[in-house]
Amino acid sequence: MELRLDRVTKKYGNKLAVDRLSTVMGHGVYGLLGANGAGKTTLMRMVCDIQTPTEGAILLNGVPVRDMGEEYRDLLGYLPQNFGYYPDFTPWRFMLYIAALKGLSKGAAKEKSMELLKEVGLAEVRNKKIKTFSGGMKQRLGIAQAMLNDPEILILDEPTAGLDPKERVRFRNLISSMAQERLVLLSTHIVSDVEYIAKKILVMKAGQIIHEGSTREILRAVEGKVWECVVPAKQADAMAQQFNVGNLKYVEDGKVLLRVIREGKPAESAVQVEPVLEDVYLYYFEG
Amino acid sequence: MRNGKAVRFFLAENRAPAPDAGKKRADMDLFREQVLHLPVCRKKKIPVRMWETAAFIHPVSWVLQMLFLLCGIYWAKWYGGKTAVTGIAAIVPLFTAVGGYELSKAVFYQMWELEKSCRYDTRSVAEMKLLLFGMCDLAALTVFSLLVYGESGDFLQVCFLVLMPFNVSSGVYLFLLEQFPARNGNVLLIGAGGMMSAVQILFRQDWERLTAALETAGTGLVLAASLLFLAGMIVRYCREREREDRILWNLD
Repeated sequence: MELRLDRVTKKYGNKLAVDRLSTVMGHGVYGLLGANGAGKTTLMRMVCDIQTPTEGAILLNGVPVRDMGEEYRDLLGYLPQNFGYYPDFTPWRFMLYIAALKGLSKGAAKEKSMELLKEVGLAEVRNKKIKTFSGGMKQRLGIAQAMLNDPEILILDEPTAGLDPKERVRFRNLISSMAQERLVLLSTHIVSDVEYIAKKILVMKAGQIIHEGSTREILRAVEGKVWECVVPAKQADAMAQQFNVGNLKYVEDGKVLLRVIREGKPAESAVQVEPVLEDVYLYYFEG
Repeated sequence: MRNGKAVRFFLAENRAPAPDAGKKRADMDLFREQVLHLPVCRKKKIPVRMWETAAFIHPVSWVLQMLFLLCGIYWAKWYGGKTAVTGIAAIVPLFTAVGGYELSKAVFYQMWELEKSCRYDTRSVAEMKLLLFGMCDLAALTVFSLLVYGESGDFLQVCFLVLMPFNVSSGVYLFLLEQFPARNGNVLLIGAGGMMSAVQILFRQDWERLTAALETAGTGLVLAASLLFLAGMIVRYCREREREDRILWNLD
């Protein structure tokens, strides 16, 4: 399977949300990393055929997804950033509703719904109202509904927003286990969400992919540019204003440990350290 | 014919040997594998889709529609005459508001995006609901029309107090839902429904002048215009479900 984005552009009036974006994706997890307003959601919606590109095309195995219509949507599982539900819905009813819209038969809908609710740990509470659920439970329900049609393409827009660290790890592992035989495109601005599970990371800024590659390849962009130094608190404040500072930790004797991302040595005592993906993020989304 | 008889005789006399366990297991495995490769999503027939859509409509909506219908019947049977006709005329716009609310729930509750990514997308759901409520409304309209005709014996009153208000109120609701797809849409519908009911009561009070004016314009023409208005609003509403420029970018 090959999902090709060919010079995809989306304009909202005068605003350019996605700018001639091109990439090719196959099986595996693809992490779409970018700050708020980078155009991630617009891109996701276009990949899901919810919005039409102003220019360019999205092709699945060489066929424009616009032309495939419901045939394409049959292959799709989508978790929107702000997914809603009807107030009277329980997880069970919600799953059956989405299954009906996805074209599953009644028997298959029931079987698959129960299987997925068990998988995301919501089978026990399937008859409780969704409105009583925590953010994490709702997100798990969101991923379960996206899997109802056993999609080949799974699109997850900010799936870990509002989750606590434990739930985030659980969610990450769940996605990783689901990505064996499908394409998972996951947008986030939380670096650790994709750091360990993504086959490829796409860094998006101002509607364009400014960098793409594996975590290792992406890290190369900041190799030799990440420094750590211990400086007096007063100097640390000045450096925080002047440089791109990742971490700032108060140590002893009024001194501060700084992690700085920049081309040259930020201070005499600074030593070069191994970069992590968060440094890349700060490097690209500085200010 | 003789051959057929011979084959039947042969089959009756000869039993198929029982499959051995290994072959049976292999066939079952093959079957399971084939089932796994069957497409999960399938095209469904319209009656199935309608049945499924109806099952997910909130029970309160059905109860409300039934309540309005029973109110109309009760009014006609209890009061009779002019009061009954006025009551039914006031009920018609409120009756149609229930369908309007159900129609726009996807937008009220942020379900549209999820629905749009499914095989049967938001537009398809809206069309199915329109069909479903259209059928219910048609049945209720027939009852209301018969009641009004039974009370007044005047077909003109059926046209101007039941059919035309139905077309206009349904059209107005669709217009409002399309223009103001907000969470408080149901309040908007109730407000508009209440206003149209009040207008209906006023019309009924001033029936003589109204009929004179409408007859001048031509009964058929007025009815056809109201029907065209409704049809136009349905088309517009369905098209709007497809429009994207309403989706705001998060920087806007």
